[in-house]
Amino acid sequence: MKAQMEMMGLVIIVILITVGLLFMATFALKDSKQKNIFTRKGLASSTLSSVLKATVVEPCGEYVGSEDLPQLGEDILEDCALQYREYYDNPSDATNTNPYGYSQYRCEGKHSCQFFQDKVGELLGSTLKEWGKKYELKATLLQGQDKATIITIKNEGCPGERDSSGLFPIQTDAGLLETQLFVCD
Amino acid sequence: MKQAQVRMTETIGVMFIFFILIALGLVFYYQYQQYAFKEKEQVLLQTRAVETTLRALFLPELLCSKGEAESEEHCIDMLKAESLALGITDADLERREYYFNLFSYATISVVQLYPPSALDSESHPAPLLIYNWPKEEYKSKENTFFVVALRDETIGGYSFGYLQVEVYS
Repeated sequence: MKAQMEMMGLVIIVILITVGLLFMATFALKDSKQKNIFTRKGLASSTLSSVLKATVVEPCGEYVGSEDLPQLGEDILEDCALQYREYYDNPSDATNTNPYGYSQYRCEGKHSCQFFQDKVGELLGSTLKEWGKKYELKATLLQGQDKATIITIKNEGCPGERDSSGLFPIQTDAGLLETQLFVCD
Repeated sequence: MKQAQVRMTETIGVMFIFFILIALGLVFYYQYQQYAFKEKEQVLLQTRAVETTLRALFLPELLCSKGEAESEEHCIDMLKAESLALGITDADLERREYYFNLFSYATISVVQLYPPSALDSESHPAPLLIYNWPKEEYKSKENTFFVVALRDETIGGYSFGYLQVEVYS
């Protein structure tokens, strides 16, 4: 009987310690979530809109010195959508690329898809990555029933909880181009 | 007699342990209260950082605009920003107070990343300091970054950069 009582006492102590630890863990996990959510939500859309607006200052072939310098979104990405078949050997497999494929803009001598990938990767790297955020940018071209992801830029990617910039659609001659940026911690 | 003494010692022992447990509980509660207070302070500072960032982002003195058209979101007009920076740092006390009521103790700057600004050093982009009122002896500070497009009408087109807001408590 005495042994049973002692056992009960031990069980109660273990339960109390567990409840205490759970209580502490709950408070520790609540840490600064409020700001992170705000920052991520606004950050995703402002980053994508700023990236797509940015004007390219590098020489872009015959377009050097033209009245309006090309924009990363409206010009370079649109050109990439038009000429992506020239760049990817197989559009469903983005690993095999052909840097000598034709594109209207050839900034720094690169195909517009390659230039967009490099430049936007660099810009996101010096901001979001520098601030410890993970991200995933995708540009998808919709042509009737067909869907091709022509650009993917990521820092570890965001498979779990993430915030989206929303879709940034651009109507091109090749179809509807939808760009989206996901940001997560 | 001896049995009663043993019982008494036992009771004293139990009470001793009981008081030690209560003391431990009180110490733990005090520590937790201190932690919770610091946490609350941090949350308040973060909320202020968010509010200050939003105020700066939507400040008409900075937003890109064209005539009577609606202002562009997430865009800072660099000509306006330069002019505002000069305006706040001058000796106009009334103006400084007006902006202090908006931003309190904070430092707000704009950094241009692409294309690199002419003022940049080799390794660091030079920030344009718009508002600088740091607290002399601050307990903590909170940094918030926000990516924005920067428009400069004298050059044309948009640059890529970010707004940095530091608030102090």
